[in-house]
Amino acid sequence: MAILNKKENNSYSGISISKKVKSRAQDPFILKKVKEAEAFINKYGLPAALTR
Amino acid sequence: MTHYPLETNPEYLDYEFLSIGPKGEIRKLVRFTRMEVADTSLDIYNLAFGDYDKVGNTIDDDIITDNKDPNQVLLTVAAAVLAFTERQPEVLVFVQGNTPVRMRYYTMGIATHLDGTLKGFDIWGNIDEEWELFQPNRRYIGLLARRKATVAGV
Repeated sequence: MAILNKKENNSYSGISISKKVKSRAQDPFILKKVKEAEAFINKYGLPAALTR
Repeated sequence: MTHYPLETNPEYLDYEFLSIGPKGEIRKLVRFTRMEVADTSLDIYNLAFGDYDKVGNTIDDDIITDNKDPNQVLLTVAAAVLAFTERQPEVLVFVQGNTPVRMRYYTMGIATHLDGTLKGFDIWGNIDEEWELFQPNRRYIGLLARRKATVAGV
């Protein structure tokens, strides 16, 4: 069973779009997590299936 | 079981929902951020997830809420992944738990939904510094997921 039932381009069952949801792009927590994630991928690379 | 109602912003990068349980209503945040990775043209997004910390107006993934709804919370995070990748089906989503316990929580959640919600995804886990196709009951330190090329929608 699909979680999301797409009704139109920007409306899903159980998911609504709200301008009240703030962007966390500059949140220090997010920036730290992204740096850690980038370090991880740069260290271990990607699955072979994705690099062929 | 259904996921909690989710709200997202028009960019489909930030998601919020309320976990409801014995501890009350706990505001949860999910954020997808594009990563800068060397030697690839693939678009890879980091998935960050945690509780809203109103003191610091930030996200906190150290908190163990124990609101007795872990499966519903994971299902809701999965719904965010579905909504995000519906918009950008070619991207990879990377997840790394902040602790081995959290990582095991994610791994168990994925295993639970592998034949259902996540059936349309290729998922890889990193173990012993190597990537492999996802298998249940493995102690992964990082996970990558991408919609299968044949999936045209949810």
